[in-house]
Amino acid sequence: MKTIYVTSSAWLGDRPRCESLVERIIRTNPDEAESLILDAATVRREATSESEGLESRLIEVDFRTWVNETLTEGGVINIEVIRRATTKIAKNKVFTINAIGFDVNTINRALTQLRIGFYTLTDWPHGLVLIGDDTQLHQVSPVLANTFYIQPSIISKAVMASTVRQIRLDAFLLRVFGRRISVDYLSKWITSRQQKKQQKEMGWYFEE
Amino acid sequence: MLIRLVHHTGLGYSPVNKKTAPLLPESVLELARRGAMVITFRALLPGCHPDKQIKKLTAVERFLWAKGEQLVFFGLETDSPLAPLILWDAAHAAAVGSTLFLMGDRQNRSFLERPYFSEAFDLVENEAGRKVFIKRALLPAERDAGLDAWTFGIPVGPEDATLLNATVKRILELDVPQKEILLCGRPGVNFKYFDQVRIVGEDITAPPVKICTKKNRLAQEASHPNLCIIHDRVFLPSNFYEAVKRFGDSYPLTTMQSLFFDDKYNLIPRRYSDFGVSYRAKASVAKGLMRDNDVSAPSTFAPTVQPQFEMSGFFYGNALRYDMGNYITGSMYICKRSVWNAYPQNENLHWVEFEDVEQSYRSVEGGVPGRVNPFALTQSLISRPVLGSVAGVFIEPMKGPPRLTRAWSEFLPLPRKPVIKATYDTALTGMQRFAEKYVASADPVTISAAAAFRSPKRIEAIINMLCRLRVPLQERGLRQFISDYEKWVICDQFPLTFIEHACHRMLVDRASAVQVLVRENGILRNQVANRPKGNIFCGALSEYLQKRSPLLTAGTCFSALYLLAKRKRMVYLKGGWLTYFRALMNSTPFET
Repeated sequence: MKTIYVTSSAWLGDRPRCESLVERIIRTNPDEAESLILDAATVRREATSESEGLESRLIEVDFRTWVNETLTEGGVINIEVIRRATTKIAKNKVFTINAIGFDVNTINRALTQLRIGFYTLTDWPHGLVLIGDDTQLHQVSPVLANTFYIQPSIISKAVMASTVRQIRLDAFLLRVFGRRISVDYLSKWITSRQQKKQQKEMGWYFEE
Repeated sequence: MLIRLVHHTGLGYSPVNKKTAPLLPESVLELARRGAMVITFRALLPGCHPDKQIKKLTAVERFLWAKGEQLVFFGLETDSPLAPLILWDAAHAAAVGSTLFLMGDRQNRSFLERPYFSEAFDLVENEAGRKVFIKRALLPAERDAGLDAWTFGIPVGPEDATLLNATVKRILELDVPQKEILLCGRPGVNFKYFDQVRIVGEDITAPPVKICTKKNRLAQEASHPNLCIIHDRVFLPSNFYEAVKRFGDSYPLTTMQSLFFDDKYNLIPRRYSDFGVSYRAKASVAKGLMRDNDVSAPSTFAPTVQPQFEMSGFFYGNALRYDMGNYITGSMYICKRSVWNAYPQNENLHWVEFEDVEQSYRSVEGGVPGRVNPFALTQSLISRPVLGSVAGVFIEPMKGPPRLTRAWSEFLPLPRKPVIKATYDTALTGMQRFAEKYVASADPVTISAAAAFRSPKRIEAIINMLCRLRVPLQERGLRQFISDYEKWVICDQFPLTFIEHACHRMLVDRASAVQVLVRENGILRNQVANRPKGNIFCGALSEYLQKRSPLLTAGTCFSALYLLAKRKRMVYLKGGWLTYFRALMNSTPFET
């Protein structure tokens, strides 16, 4: 499944070209999982709309229906509606979620619910397009890229070395001291020591 | 004849004496005076003395001597958790036509009313506190009487047969008068004894490994009345025949205690997959449907509820104790052919789906308890790291509540056996296969040969792969990914609860694969703790076989001393230091 983040300026500025570009992306290597960003400049470069006059394959879902906008529940996502929407998403379709004007946290929470809803589906749509504000481009698009796939995130050599060192230390403690006084015990002890130290510095903790 | 039984105080069972339980009534004493054999835990009236007193009673004692025209058990099921074992033995020792009285118990349903006994015993009197049974026919185990003819059955697969050769060679060496060896499935091409075994069940397909079907087939094909079904890694003691003779005939579902020595000098003993106990598993609430979707028989062993069932808590059992939650693990069964065929394994379940627990619980419901032969022990040729924790395992001591038990020698820098039964080549091929399947094509990763030889390099290689993954968060795909990681990279089995934890963490908490499958992975940490530097995989499977040397004899001496000192907490054998030493030497798999 391809996930595409389209900025609001691109979507609202030239929707036919935008749709044409999205369709072209979906048609090219449809089985490859990719996450793309389409901004206004990219859409402007699209020559003409190929699908002009044809029925659009894009099925639009209004993000507004996924969020409760009452005074008391403002910005609370409606999990039930999201889960129902996921079951309706069929194979060979491209879904467009119009989330223009919503804050990043709400979108992220809704995407998490969408991810849980997608988990049990055997067939995924070929593409999922999220339309969001230009200002949120670099906040939401990385989350969208990681929503439906575990994606590569290269770990630096230093972090890798420290992880290996930590596992070896834990294993050494386990081997020498056994389960009773090993990793769990020591980590709890170290944490409680640190907490006490911090509390003492802040004046919350008094030792007799 | 009046026989009074007294529990071993070390068992911690409720005491039965004049301060804690009613005295034996005069009417029962009268029965003893008239010639009946009365067996009870109750204290006697002042001035009365039993004809015989059996003190320090534990679960390893047998009651095949309890014979007589009239056999009276007073308050047995109320006073002792060992009642099923005593009643099993007494029911088999009793001659046809004899009468068994169960008196002084308030239970509605006695152990002797279970289906196994129903064909042979008639309940002729059933009043509150008094049940009278007459034995009308032989019980199934009695129909298979005798200990001279044995069928040894081993379910096998087509992999390398080096260890199977050692196991079969040992069976061939046993001094059993009549024996046959059955293999269910075709062994690997390097199997040496095709002419001395009978192969059955070649039509049983895999995967999944239908271990229950295989074991049932072995029992159906057995020519001899005594069955010994073992896995190909179980190395029998050379005094097997002597041990089973000393234990006696008409035994129920039985096993021997099992050890695995992690080092090459027999100095680091670990209890390994023989029999266990679970206090909560029987009362597991959630049920599901088995693979046959039989709605009339929902089960706690159904595949859908197994992760919950796993959380019931399973511990190694103690040979001296008996509890209805005891079960014999699938590694070794000694039982009569008729008993197995009456309570076969459930073919709806596959390997590592608690099929052994299910069979044990079903058979005890039917009237066949599981117990331990304390006259010998077996050794496991290999150890699955998931069961061989370097930090110790929970073993039920004689007193009761399971305790974390770990040999004192665990931390010693001794030469060790490989921790995983896979060769370096297999390990490297597995990791490369995993990388090719899951690592994103834009950033391919190459596995260095050192990853199979050195633990730190192995972790680095695993992290390198996991941080370059692309896996869809789709149930089938994610579970397949974890299963492939388990099979190709870790080369070990994950607990079902860990699989659920991993899926949940990656799906809901958005945790990275490195975090979940490396940092939070206790199995991997245990592998590194087992072998901090290297020697995780083996060059050849023969590395699991021991070499005869004075050092090994010395190590065995120390282990015998250690196990003798821990006899109430780890392994119990009837005898002293020499018994332990002989038992260890008799079951050590030596290289030939």
